[in-house]
Amino acid sequence: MILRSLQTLHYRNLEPTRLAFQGGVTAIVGGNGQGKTNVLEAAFLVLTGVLDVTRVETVIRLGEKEGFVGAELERDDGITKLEVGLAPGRKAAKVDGARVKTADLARHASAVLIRPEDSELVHGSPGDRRAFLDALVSRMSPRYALALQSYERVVTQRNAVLKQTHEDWMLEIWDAKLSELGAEIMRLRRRAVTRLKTLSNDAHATLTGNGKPLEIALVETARLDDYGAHILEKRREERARGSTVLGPHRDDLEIKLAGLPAADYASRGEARTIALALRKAEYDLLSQKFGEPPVLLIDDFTAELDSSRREFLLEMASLAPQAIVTGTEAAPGAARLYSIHAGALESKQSALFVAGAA
Amino acid sequence: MKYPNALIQLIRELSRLPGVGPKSAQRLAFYLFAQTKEEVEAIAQAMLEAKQTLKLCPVCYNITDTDLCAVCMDATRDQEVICVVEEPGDVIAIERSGEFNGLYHVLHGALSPMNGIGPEQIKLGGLLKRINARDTSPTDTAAQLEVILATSTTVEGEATSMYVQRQLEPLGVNVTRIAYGLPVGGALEYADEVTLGRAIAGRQKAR
Ligand SMILES: [Zn+2]
Repeated sequence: MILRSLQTLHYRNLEPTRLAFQGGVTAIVGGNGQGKTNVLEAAFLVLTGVLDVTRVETVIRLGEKEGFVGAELERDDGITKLEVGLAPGRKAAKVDGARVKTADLARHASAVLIRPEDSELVHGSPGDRRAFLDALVSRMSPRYALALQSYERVVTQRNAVLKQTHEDWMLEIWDAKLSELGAEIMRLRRRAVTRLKTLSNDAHATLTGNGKPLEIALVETARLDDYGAHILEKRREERARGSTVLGPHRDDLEIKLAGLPAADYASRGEARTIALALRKAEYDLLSQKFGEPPVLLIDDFTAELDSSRREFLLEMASLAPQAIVTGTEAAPGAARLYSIHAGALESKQSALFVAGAA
Repeated sequence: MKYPNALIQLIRELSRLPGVGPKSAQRLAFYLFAQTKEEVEAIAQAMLEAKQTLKLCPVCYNITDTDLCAVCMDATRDQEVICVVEEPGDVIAIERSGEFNGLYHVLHGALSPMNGIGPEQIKLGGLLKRINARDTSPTDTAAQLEVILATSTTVEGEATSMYVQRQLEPLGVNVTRIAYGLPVGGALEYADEVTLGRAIAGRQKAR
Protein backbone atom coordinates (compact mmCIF):
# COMPACT_ATOMS: atom_id res chain seq x y z
CA MET A 1 0.00 0.00 0.00
CA ILE A 2 1.17 3.49 -0.82
CA LEU A 3 0.40 6.65 1.12
CA ARG A 4 -0.43 9.14 -1.64
CA SER A 5 -1.01 12.24 0.43
CA LEU A 6 -1.04 13.46 4.01
CA GLN A 7 -2.90 16.47 5.33
CA THR A 8 -2.73 17.88 8.83
CA LEU A 9 -4.43 20.72 10.66
CA HIS A 10 -3.38 21.88 14.12
CA TYR A 11 -1.25 18.77 14.55
CA ARG A 12 1.58 19.68 16.92
CA ASN A 13 3.86 22.24 15.26
CA LEU A 14 3.06 21.26 11.66
CA GLU A 15 1.92 24.01 9.33
CA PRO A 16 -1.39 23.13 7.62
CA THR A 17 -0.34 21.48 4.42
CA ARG A 18 -1.00 18.70 1.97
CA LEU A 19 2.02 16.53 1.28
CA ALA A 20 2.19 14.33 -1.78
CA PHE A 21 4.00 11.01 -1.57
CA GLN A 22 4.90 8.22 -3.95
CA GLY A 23 6.35 4.74 -3.80
CA GLY A 24 9.99 4.10 -2.90
CA VAL A 25 11.93 6.09 -0.35
CA THR A 26 10.87 9.61 0.61
CA ALA A 27 13.36 11.56 2.70
CA ILE A 28 12.35 14.28 5.14
CA VAL A 29 15.33 16.31 6.23
CA GLY A 30 15.51 18.78 9.07
CA GLY A 31 17.26 19.70 12.29
CA ASN A 32 16.18 18.62 15.73
CA GLY A 33 12.87 20.01 16.97
CA GLN A 34 11.71 21.10 13.49
CA GLY A 35 8.85 18.58 13.41
CA LYS A 36 10.23 15.57 11.50
CA THR A 37 8.82 13.13 14.04
CA ASN A 38 5.44 14.88 14.00
CA VAL A 39 4.99 14.15 10.29
CA LEU A 40 5.59 10.44 10.86
CA GLU A 41 3.37 10.35 13.95
CA ALA A 42 0.53 12.00 12.04
CA ALA A 43 0.93 9.48 9.21
CA PHE A 44 1.03 6.61 11.72
CA LEU A 45 -2.12 7.87 13.44
CA VAL A 46 -4.21 8.17 10.30
CA LEU A 47 -2.99 4.80 8.98
CA THR A 48 -3.54 2.86 12.20
CA GLY A 49 -5.85 4.80 14.53
CA VAL A 50 -3.38 4.05 17.29
CA LEU A 51 -3.14 6.93 19.75
CA ASP A 52 -3.94 6.73 23.43
CA VAL A 53 -7.07 8.84 24.00
CA THR A 54 -5.42 10.45 27.03
CA ARG A 55 -2.66 11.67 24.73
CA VAL A 56 -4.97 13.26 22.14
CA GLU A 57 -4.74 16.61 23.88
CA THR A 58 -0.96 16.64 23.62
CA VAL A 59 -0.93 16.30 19.82
CA ILE A 60 -3.35 19.17 19.16
CA ARG A 61 -1.46 22.36 18.49
CA LEU A 62 -1.22 24.56 21.58
CA GLY A 63 -4.07 27.06 21.75
CA GLU A 64 -6.29 25.12 19.32
CA LYS A 65 -9.32 23.04 20.30
CA GLU A 66 -9.37 20.54 17.49
CA GLY A 67 -6.93 18.85 15.16
CA PHE A 68 -7.20 16.81 11.98
CA VAL A 69 -5.16 14.34 9.98
CA GLY A 70 -6.22 13.07 6.57
CA ALA A 71 -4.64 10.70 4.10
CA GLU A 72 -5.17 9.13 0.71
CA LEU A 73 -4.02 5.56 0.56
CA GLU A 74 -3.57 3.56 -2.60
CA ARG A 75 -4.17 -0.18 -2.48
CA ASP A 76 -4.79 -2.79 -5.14
CA ASP A 77 -8.48 -1.97 -5.16
CA GLY A 78 -8.09 1.79 -5.53
CA ILE A 79 -7.72 4.90 -3.42
CA THR A 80 -9.14 5.09 0.11
CA LYS A 81 -9.63 8.35 1.98
CA LEU A 82 -8.81 8.14 5.68
CA GLU A 83 -9.53 10.88 8.21
CA VAL A 84 -9.01 11.33 11.94
CA GLY A 85 -10.54 14.23 13.86
CA LEU A 86 -9.06 15.08 17.24
CA ALA A 87 -10.53 16.91 20.21
CA PRO A 88 -9.45 16.70 23.86
CA GLY A 89 -10.23 13.17 25.10
CA ARG A 90 -11.82 12.22 21.80
CA LYS A 91 -10.87 10.95 18.36
CA ALA A 92 -13.20 10.24 15.47
CA ALA A 93 -12.38 8.46 12.24
CA LYS A 94 -13.81 8.35 8.75
CA VAL A 95 -13.11 6.05 5.84
CA ASP A 96 -14.23 7.40 2.46
CA GLY A 97 -16.46 9.87 4.26
CA ALA A 98 -18.27 7.27 6.41
CA ARG A 99 -17.77 7.34 10.17
CA VAL A 100 -16.01 4.30 11.62
CA LYS A 101 -14.48 3.35 14.95
CA THR A 102 -10.86 4.52 15.11
CA ALA A 103 -9.76 0.91 15.51
CA ASP A 104 -11.41 0.16 12.16
CA LEU A 105 -8.81 2.28 10.35
CA ALA A 106 -6.58 -0.77 10.80
CA ARG A 107 -8.90 -2.71 8.49
CA HIS A 108 -8.01 -0.37 5.63
CA ALA A 109 -4.45 0.67 6.27
CA SER A 110 -1.29 -0.36 7.97
CA ALA A 111 1.98 1.25 8.98
CA VAL A 112 5.03 0.53 11.09
CA LEU A 113 6.87 3.33 12.88
CA ILE A 114 10.51 2.81 13.86
CA ARG A 115 11.91 5.39 16.26
CA PRO A 116 15.26 5.94 18.03
CA GLU A 117 13.42 5.63 21.38
CA ASP A 118 12.35 2.08 20.56
CA SER A 119 15.06 0.63 22.80
CA GLU A 120 12.82 1.67 25.72
CA LEU A 121 10.87 -1.46 24.80
CA VAL A 122 13.72 -3.42 26.34
CA HIS A 123 14.76 -1.28 29.29
CA GLY A 124 11.41 0.38 29.94
CA SER A 125 8.46 -0.69 32.07
CA PRO A 126 6.12 -3.63 31.40
CA GLY A 127 3.60 -0.94 30.43
CA ASP A 128 5.83 0.09 27.49
CA ARG A 129 5.98 -3.48 26.25
CA ARG A 130 2.23 -3.94 26.69
CA ALA A 131 1.68 -0.76 24.67
CA PHE A 132 3.87 -2.21 21.89
CA LEU A 133 1.95 -5.48 21.95
CA ASP A 134 -1.48 -3.83 22.17
CA ALA A 135 -0.72 -1.48 19.29
CA LEU A 136 0.46 -4.42 17.18
CA VAL A 137 -2.38 -6.84 17.95
CA SER A 138 -4.95 -4.04 17.55
CA ARG A 139 -3.73 -3.52 14.00
CA MET A 140 -3.93 -7.24 13.29
CA SER A 141 -7.39 -7.59 14.77
CA PRO A 142 -9.88 -4.74 15.22
CA ARG A 143 -11.74 -7.19 17.44
CA TYR A 144 -8.76 -7.07 19.80
CA ALA A 145 -8.86 -3.27 19.84
CA LEU A 146 -12.54 -3.33 20.80
CA ALA A 147 -12.07 -6.03 23.43
CA LEU A 148 -9.16 -4.12 24.93
CA GLN A 149 -11.14 -0.90 25.11
CA SER A 150 -14.05 -2.65 26.84
CA TYR A 151 -11.71 -4.58 29.10
CA GLU A 152 -9.99 -1.41 30.30
CA ARG A 153 -13.38 0.09 31.02
CA VAL A 154 -14.45 -2.94 33.04
CA VAL A 155 -11.21 -2.73 35.06
CA THR A 156 -11.87 0.96 35.80
CA GLN A 157 -15.48 0.26 36.82
CA ARG A 158 -14.47 -2.72 38.89
CA ASN A 159 -11.69 -0.79 40.66
CA ALA A 160 -14.29 1.83 41.58
CA VAL A 161 -16.44 -0.94 43.10
CA LEU A 162 -13.43 -2.29 45.03
CA LYS A 163 -12.86 1.15 46.52
CA GLN A 164 -16.55 1.81 47.25
CA THR A 165 -18.06 -1.33 48.71
CA HIS A 166 -17.26 -4.65 50.28
CA GLU A 167 -20.25 -6.46 48.86
CA ASP A 168 -19.18 -9.40 46.73
CA TRP A 169 -22.19 -9.44 44.45
CA MET A 170 -21.39 -5.91 43.32
CA LEU A 171 -18.07 -7.21 42.04
CA GLU A 172 -19.55 -10.33 40.55
CA ILE A 173 -21.67 -8.44 38.04
CA TRP A 174 -18.40 -7.08 36.58
CA ASP A 175 -16.40 -10.29 36.98
CA ALA A 176 -18.20 -12.11 34.17
CA LYS A 177 -17.26 -9.45 31.63
CA LEU A 178 -13.77 -9.13 33.11
CA SER A 179 -12.98 -12.80 32.59
CA GLU A 180 -14.72 -13.01 29.21
CA LEU A 181 -12.83 -10.03 27.77
CA GLY A 182 -9.61 -10.81 29.64
CA ALA A 183 -9.56 -14.35 28.25
CA GLU A 184 -10.22 -13.13 24.72
CA ILE A 185 -7.33 -10.66 24.97
CA MET A 186 -5.04 -13.37 26.32
CA ARG A 187 -5.92 -15.74 23.48
CA LEU A 188 -5.35 -13.13 20.78
CA ARG A 189 -2.08 -12.01 22.38
CA ARG A 190 -0.83 -15.60 22.57
CA ARG A 191 -1.56 -16.14 18.91
CA ALA A 192 0.28 -12.94 17.93
CA VAL A 193 3.27 -13.57 20.20
CA THR A 194 3.79 -17.09 18.84
CA ARG A 195 4.31 -15.60 15.38
CA LEU A 196 6.19 -12.55 16.65
CA LYS A 197 8.61 -14.83 18.47
CA THR A 198 9.77 -16.65 15.33
CA LEU A 199 9.95 -13.52 13.20
CA SER A 200 11.85 -11.43 15.79
CA ASN A 201 14.26 -14.28 16.37
CA ASP A 202 14.98 -14.47 12.61
CA ALA A 203 15.45 -10.70 12.31
CA HIS A 204 17.71 -10.66 15.34
CA ALA A 205 19.85 -13.46 13.94
CA THR A 206 20.24 -11.50 10.70
CA LEU A 207 21.15 -8.32 12.57
CA THR A 208 23.73 -9.96 14.83
CA GLY A 209 25.08 -12.54 12.40
CA ASN A 210 23.68 -15.36 14.52
CA GLY A 211 24.84 -13.85 17.80
CA LYS A 212 23.11 -14.35 21.15
CA PRO A 213 19.65 -15.84 20.53
CA LEU A 214 16.64 -13.62 21.22
CA GLU A 215 13.57 -15.06 22.85
CA ILE A 216 10.33 -13.32 23.68
CA ALA A 217 7.50 -14.74 25.78
CA LEU A 218 4.29 -13.56 27.40
CA VAL A 219 4.31 -13.43 31.18
CA GLU A 220 0.66 -13.77 32.15
CA THR A 221 -0.89 -13.02 35.52
CA ALA A 222 -4.26 -14.75 35.05
CA ARG A 223 -4.91 -18.45 34.46
CA LEU A 224 -6.66 -18.60 31.11
CA ASP A 225 -8.40 -21.94 31.72
CA ASP A 226 -9.99 -21.00 35.04
CA TYR A 227 -9.95 -17.23 34.95
CA GLY A 228 -13.11 -16.88 37.04
CA ALA A 229 -11.81 -19.03 39.88
CA HIS A 230 -8.48 -17.21 39.81
CA ILE A 231 -10.25 -13.87 40.30
CA LEU A 232 -12.07 -15.29 43.32
CA GLU A 233 -8.77 -16.46 44.87
CA LYS A 234 -7.49 -12.88 44.74
CA ARG A 235 -10.52 -11.30 46.45
CA ARG A 236 -8.72 -10.52 49.69
CA GLU A 237 -5.70 -9.00 47.94
CA GLU A 238 -7.93 -6.98 45.64
CA ARG A 239 -9.88 -5.62 48.60
CA ALA A 240 -6.64 -4.62 50.31
CA ARG A 241 -5.26 -2.87 47.25
CA GLY A 242 -8.53 -1.52 45.92
CA SER A 243 -7.66 -2.62 42.40
CA THR A 244 -7.87 -5.52 39.95
CA VAL A 245 -4.62 -7.39 40.52
CA LEU A 246 -4.58 -9.90 37.68
CA GLY A 247 -5.32 -9.92 33.99
CA PRO A 248 -3.90 -8.67 30.68
CA HIS A 249 -3.46 -5.14 32.08
CA ARG A 250 -0.77 -6.55 34.38
CA ASP A 251 0.92 -8.93 31.95
CA ASP A 252 4.38 -8.42 30.46
CA LEU A 253 6.24 -9.37 27.32
CA GLU A 254 9.45 -10.88 28.56
CA ILE A 255 12.53 -10.44 26.39
CA LYS A 256 15.51 -12.73 26.92
CA LEU A 257 18.91 -12.57 25.31
CA ALA A 258 20.89 -15.81 25.51
CA GLY A 259 18.57 -16.93 28.30
CA LEU A 260 19.00 -13.81 30.47
CA PRO A 261 16.37 -11.08 30.98
CA ALA A 262 17.29 -8.32 28.54
CA ALA A 263 15.73 -5.68 30.80
CA ASP A 264 18.55 -6.33 33.29
CA TYR A 265 21.41 -7.61 31.20
CA ALA A 266 21.25 -6.12 27.70
CA SER A 267 23.63 -3.27 26.88
CA ARG A 268 22.26 -0.13 25.19
CA GLY A 269 23.47 -1.37 21.85
CA GLU A 270 21.96 -4.81 22.37
CA ALA A 271 18.68 -3.19 23.39
CA ARG A 272 18.60 -1.17 20.17
CA THR A 273 19.24 -4.28 18.13
CA ILE A 274 16.46 -6.17 19.94
CA ALA A 275 14.04 -3.28 19.42
CA LEU A 276 14.89 -3.15 15.73
CA ALA A 277 14.34 -6.92 15.44
CA LEU A 278 10.92 -6.51 17.07
CA ARG A 279 9.99 -3.74 14.61
CA LYS A 280 11.10 -5.88 11.68
CA ALA A 281 8.98 -8.72 13.04
CA GLU A 282 6.05 -6.31 13.37
CA TYR A 283 6.57 -5.26 9.74
CA ASP A 284 6.67 -8.87 8.55
CA LEU A 285 3.65 -9.86 10.61
CA LEU A 286 1.53 -7.02 9.24
CA SER A 287 2.76 -7.76 5.71
CA GLN A 288 1.49 -11.33 6.10
CA LYS A 289 -1.78 -10.16 7.60
CA PHE A 290 -2.53 -7.69 4.79
CA GLY A 291 -0.98 -9.60 1.95
CA GLU A 292 1.05 -6.48 1.20
CA PRO A 293 3.67 -4.58 3.20
CA PRO A 294 2.59 -1.69 5.44
CA VAL A 295 3.84 1.86 4.92
CA LEU A 296 7.25 2.01 6.58
CA LEU A 297 7.98 5.09 8.69
CA ILE A 298 11.54 5.47 9.98
CA ASP A 299 12.23 8.34 12.34
CA ASP A 300 15.71 9.85 12.35
CA PHE A 301 17.86 7.14 10.81
CA THR A 302 20.82 9.49 11.38
CA ALA A 303 20.46 8.87 15.13
CA GLU A 304 21.48 5.27 14.48
CA LEU A 305 25.28 5.39 14.68
CA ASP A 306 25.93 1.65 14.56
CA SER A 307 26.75 0.74 10.98
CA SER A 308 25.12 -2.70 10.90
CA ARG A 309 21.84 -1.39 12.35
CA ARG A 310 21.86 1.62 10.03
CA GLU A 311 22.47 -0.63 7.06
CA PHE A 312 19.64 -2.90 8.18
CA LEU A 313 17.28 0.09 8.48
CA LEU A 314 18.18 1.48 5.08
CA GLU A 315 17.87 -1.91 3.48
CA MET A 316 14.40 -2.32 4.98
CA ALA A 317 13.54 1.09 3.53
CA SER A 318 14.90 0.31 0.09
CA LEU A 319 13.06 -3.02 -0.10
CA ALA A 320 9.75 -1.55 1.09
CA PRO A 321 7.15 -0.54 -1.52
CA GLN A 322 7.07 2.73 0.38
CA ALA A 323 9.24 4.15 3.15
CA ILE A 324 9.26 7.64 4.61
CA VAL A 325 12.56 8.26 6.32
CA THR A 326 13.48 11.31 8.38
CA GLY A 327 16.96 12.41 9.36
CA THR A 328 19.31 15.36 9.69
CA GLU A 329 20.51 14.31 6.25
CA ALA A 330 18.66 12.67 3.36
CA ALA A 331 18.30 8.91 3.33
CA PRO A 332 20.35 7.50 0.45
CA GLY A 333 18.42 6.56 -2.65
CA ALA A 334 15.44 8.78 -1.85
CA ALA A 335 13.17 9.32 -4.85
CA ARG A 336 11.65 12.38 -3.26
CA LEU A 337 12.93 14.89 -0.76
CA TYR A 338 11.24 17.24 1.64
CA SER A 339 12.94 19.66 3.97
CA ILE A 340 11.25 20.70 7.18
CA HIS A 341 11.82 23.85 9.15
CA ALA A 342 9.70 25.03 12.12
CA GLY A 343 6.88 22.70 11.09
CA ALA A 344 6.79 23.87 7.48
CA LEU A 345 7.60 21.35 4.76
CA GLU A 346 9.06 22.23 1.42
CA SER A 347 9.42 19.89 -1.54
CA LYS A 348 12.99 19.62 -2.80
CA GLN A 349 12.11 17.07 -5.43
CA SER A 350 13.55 18.94 -8.41
CA ALA A 351 16.85 19.70 -6.70
CA LEU A 352 17.34 16.03 -5.96
CA PHE A 353 16.31 15.09 -9.47
CA VAL A 354 19.04 17.33 -10.84
CA ALA A 355 21.54 15.95 -8.36
CA GLY A 356 20.50 12.41 -9.26
CA ALA A 357 20.89 13.08 -12.98
CA ALA A 358 24.31 14.61 -12.60
CA MET B 1 -13.45 41.90 23.67
CA LYS B 2 -15.62 40.38 26.38
CA TYR B 3 -19.11 39.09 25.61
CA PRO B 4 -22.02 40.93 27.29
CA ASN B 5 -23.07 39.27 30.55
CA ALA B 6 -26.47 38.09 29.27
CA LEU B 7 -24.75 36.31 26.39
CA ILE B 8 -22.18 34.68 28.66
CA GLN B 9 -24.99 33.52 30.94
CA LEU B 10 -26.97 32.05 28.03
CA ILE B 11 -23.94 30.21 26.66
CA ARG B 12 -23.17 28.85 30.10
CA GLU B 13 -26.72 27.52 30.55
CA LEU B 14 -26.84 26.00 27.09
CA SER B 15 -23.49 24.30 27.48
CA ARG B 16 -24.89 22.40 30.47
CA LEU B 17 -27.14 20.47 28.09
CA PRO B 18 -25.96 16.93 27.28
CA GLY B 19 -23.96 16.67 24.07
CA VAL B 20 -23.58 20.44 23.82
CA GLY B 21 -20.01 21.68 24.08
CA PRO B 22 -18.93 25.31 24.51
CA LYS B 23 -18.68 25.75 20.75
CA SER B 24 -22.19 24.53 19.93
CA ALA B 25 -23.56 26.42 22.95
CA GLN B 26 -22.15 29.58 21.42
CA ARG B 27 -23.68 28.73 18.05
CA LEU B 28 -27.08 28.08 19.69
CA ALA B 29 -26.88 31.37 21.61
CA PHE B 30 -26.19 33.34 18.40
CA TYR B 31 -29.02 31.46 16.69
CA LEU B 32 -31.46 32.35 19.47
CA PHE B 33 -30.36 35.98 19.29
CA ALA B 34 -31.12 36.05 15.58
CA GLN B 35 -34.71 34.81 16.09
CA THR B 36 -37.73 37.06 16.62
CA LYS B 37 -38.97 37.62 20.18
CA GLU B 38 -42.06 35.46 19.42
CA GLU B 39 -39.95 32.55 18.23
CA VAL B 40 -37.76 32.64 21.33
CA GLU B 41 -40.86 32.87 23.52
CA ALA B 42 -42.29 29.82 21.78
CA ILE B 43 -39.12 27.85 22.58
CA ALA B 44 -39.08 29.01 26.21
CA GLN B 45 -42.80 28.28 26.51
CA ALA B 46 -42.34 24.76 25.13
CA MET B 47 -39.57 24.07 27.61
CA LEU B 48 -41.60 25.35 30.57
CA GLU B 49 -44.73 23.53 29.50
CA ALA B 50 -42.85 20.28 29.04
CA LYS B 51 -41.36 20.67 32.49
CA GLN B 52 -44.78 21.44 34.02
CA THR B 53 -46.84 18.72 32.34
CA LEU B 54 -44.40 15.85 32.02
CA LYS B 55 -43.68 13.40 34.81
CA LEU B 56 -42.58 9.83 35.28
CA CYS B 57 -45.20 7.10 35.07
CA PRO B 58 -45.46 5.78 38.65
CA VAL B 59 -45.57 2.19 37.35
CA CYS B 60 -42.95 1.94 34.60
CA TYR B 61 -41.04 5.25 35.02
CA ASN B 62 -41.48 6.18 31.39
CA ILE B 63 -42.10 9.85 30.63
CA THR B 64 -45.82 10.68 30.48
CA ASP B 65 -48.23 13.62 30.52
CA THR B 66 -51.05 11.54 31.99
CA ASP B 67 -51.29 9.85 35.39
CA LEU B 68 -50.35 6.49 33.93
CA CYS B 69 -48.41 6.32 30.67
CA ALA B 70 -50.19 5.22 27.50
CA VAL B 71 -48.58 1.76 27.61
CA CYS B 72 -49.50 1.07 31.22
CA MET B 73 -53.07 2.27 30.58
CA ASP B 74 -53.55 0.05 27.56
CA ALA B 75 -55.25 -3.12 28.81
CA THR B 76 -54.91 -4.80 25.42
CA ARG B 77 -51.15 -5.04 25.81
CA ASP B 78 -49.59 -8.27 27.01
CA GLN B 79 -49.44 -7.92 30.80
CA GLU B 80 -47.18 -10.96 31.16
CA VAL B 81 -44.05 -9.44 29.59
CA ILE B 82 -41.99 -6.53 30.91
CA CYS B 83 -39.14 -5.13 28.87
CA VAL B 84 -36.42 -3.44 30.94
CA VAL B 85 -34.59 -0.56 29.22
CA GLU B 86 -32.07 2.09 30.24
CA GLU B 87 -33.66 5.26 28.88
CA PRO B 88 -37.12 6.56 27.83
CA GLY B 89 -35.74 6.87 24.29
CA ASP B 90 -35.27 3.10 24.21
CA VAL B 91 -39.03 2.65 24.72
CA ILE B 92 -39.71 4.77 21.64
CA ALA B 93 -37.17 2.75 19.64
CA ILE B 94 -38.73 -0.59 20.61
CA GLU B 95 -42.26 0.73 20.04
CA ARG B 96 -41.22 1.81 16.57
CA SER B 97 -40.08 -1.74 15.80
CA GLY B 98 -43.70 -2.86 16.19
CA GLU B 99 -42.43 -6.22 17.47
CA PHE B 100 -43.32 -5.78 21.11
CA ASN B 101 -46.74 -5.57 22.69
CA GLY B 102 -45.88 -5.97 26.36
CA LEU B 103 -45.06 -3.51 29.16
CA TYR B 104 -41.89 -1.58 29.95
CA HIS B 105 -39.71 -0.63 32.85
CA VAL B 106 -37.30 2.29 32.48
CA LEU B 107 -34.20 2.24 34.71
CA HIS B 108 -33.05 5.78 33.88
CA GLY B 109 -29.41 4.81 33.63
CA ALA B 110 -26.95 1.96 33.82
CA LEU B 111 -24.60 1.00 36.62
CA SER B 112 -21.36 2.97 36.42
CA PRO B 113 -19.44 2.91 39.72
CA MET B 114 -16.72 5.20 38.29
CA ASN B 115 -19.40 7.87 37.86
CA GLY B 116 -21.00 7.13 41.22
CA ILE B 117 -24.00 5.36 39.70
CA GLY B 118 -24.76 2.35 41.88
CA PRO B 119 -27.91 0.25 42.37
CA GLU B 120 -29.55 3.05 44.38
CA GLN B 121 -29.22 5.47 41.48
CA ILE B 122 -31.18 3.38 38.97
CA LYS B 123 -34.92 2.87 39.25
CA LEU B 124 -35.11 -0.88 39.80
CA GLY B 125 -37.01 -0.87 43.10
CA GLY B 126 -40.25 -0.07 41.29
CA LEU B 127 -39.89 -3.15 39.11
CA LEU B 128 -39.36 -5.42 42.12
CA LYS B 129 -42.46 -3.89 43.75
CA ARG B 130 -44.44 -4.40 40.55
CA ILE B 131 -43.50 -8.08 40.46
CA ASN B 132 -44.08 -8.61 44.16
CA ALA B 133 -47.46 -6.93 43.90
CA ARG B 134 -48.53 -9.52 41.31
CA ASP B 135 -47.71 -12.30 43.76
CA THR B 136 -50.52 -11.24 46.09
CA SER B 137 -53.17 -12.31 43.63
CA PRO B 138 -53.53 -16.11 43.37
CA THR B 139 -54.44 -16.11 39.66
CA ASP B 140 -51.70 -13.73 38.68
CA THR B 141 -48.37 -15.16 39.80
CA ALA B 142 -44.85 -14.07 39.03
CA ALA B 143 -44.08 -17.46 37.50
CA GLN B 144 -46.05 -16.54 34.39
CA LEU B 145 -44.13 -13.34 33.96
CA GLU B 146 -41.30 -12.84 31.47
CA VAL B 147 -38.84 -10.02 31.99
CA ILE B 148 -36.79 -9.11 28.89
CA LEU B 149 -33.50 -7.38 29.65
CA ALA B 150 -32.96 -4.85 26.87
CA THR B 151 -30.16 -2.77 28.36
CA SER B 152 -27.43 -1.70 25.92
CA THR B 153 -24.48 -3.89 24.95
CA THR B 154 -21.87 -1.55 26.48
CA VAL B 155 -19.97 -3.00 29.43
CA GLU B 156 -22.19 -0.88 31.72
CA GLY B 157 -25.36 -2.15 30.04
CA GLU B 158 -24.18 -5.74 30.36
CA ALA B 159 -23.31 -5.33 34.05
CA THR B 160 -26.71 -3.71 34.64
CA SER B 161 -28.41 -6.58 32.87
CA MET B 162 -26.60 -9.05 35.09
CA TYR B 163 -27.46 -7.06 38.19
CA VAL B 164 -31.16 -6.95 37.31
CA GLN B 165 -31.11 -10.65 36.51
CA ARG B 166 -29.68 -11.41 39.95
CA GLN B 167 -32.30 -9.27 41.64
CA LEU B 168 -35.09 -11.01 39.76
CA GLU B 169 -33.89 -14.60 40.15
CA PRO B 170 -35.24 -15.11 43.70
CA LEU B 171 -38.66 -13.90 42.54
CA GLY B 172 -38.96 -16.86 40.19
CA VAL B 173 -39.71 -14.84 37.07
CA ASN B 174 -38.60 -15.95 33.64
CA VAL B 175 -35.69 -13.63 32.70
CA THR B 176 -34.45 -13.31 29.10
CA ARG B 177 -31.86 -11.09 27.40
CA ILE B 178 -32.39 -9.58 23.94
CA ALA B 179 -30.39 -11.34 21.23
CA TYR B 180 -27.28 -9.82 19.68
CA GLY B 181 -27.73 -9.73 15.97
CA LEU B 182 -26.57 -8.43 12.64
CA PRO B 183 -27.88 -5.17 11.29
CA VAL B 184 -30.55 -5.99 8.73
CA GLY B 185 -29.79 -5.06 5.14
CA GLY B 186 -26.02 -5.12 5.65
CA ALA B 187 -23.62 -7.42 3.88
CA LEU B 188 -22.05 -9.99 6.19
CA GLU B 189 -18.52 -8.99 5.24
CA TYR B 190 -19.00 -5.49 6.65
CA ALA B 191 -20.16 -6.62 10.10
CA ASP B 192 -17.46 -6.26 12.75
CA GLU B 193 -16.13 -9.51 14.22
CA VAL B 194 -17.69 -8.99 17.64
CA THR B 195 -21.18 -8.52 16.23
CA LEU B 196 -20.69 -11.38 13.82
CA GLY B 197 -19.28 -13.65 16.53
CA ARG B 198 -22.20 -12.91 18.83
CA ALA B 199 -24.71 -13.38 16.05
CA ILE B 200 -23.24 -16.81 15.32
CA ALA B 201 -23.14 -17.75 19.00
CA GLY B 202 -26.79 -16.68 19.34
CA ARG B 203 -27.97 -18.47 16.19
CA GLN B 204 -31.45 -19.94 16.02
CA LYS B 205 -33.00 -22.96 14.37
CA ALA B 206 -33.90 -22.09 10.80
CA ARG B 207 -37.63 -21.65 10.42
ZN1 LIG C 1 -46.09 3.34 32.52
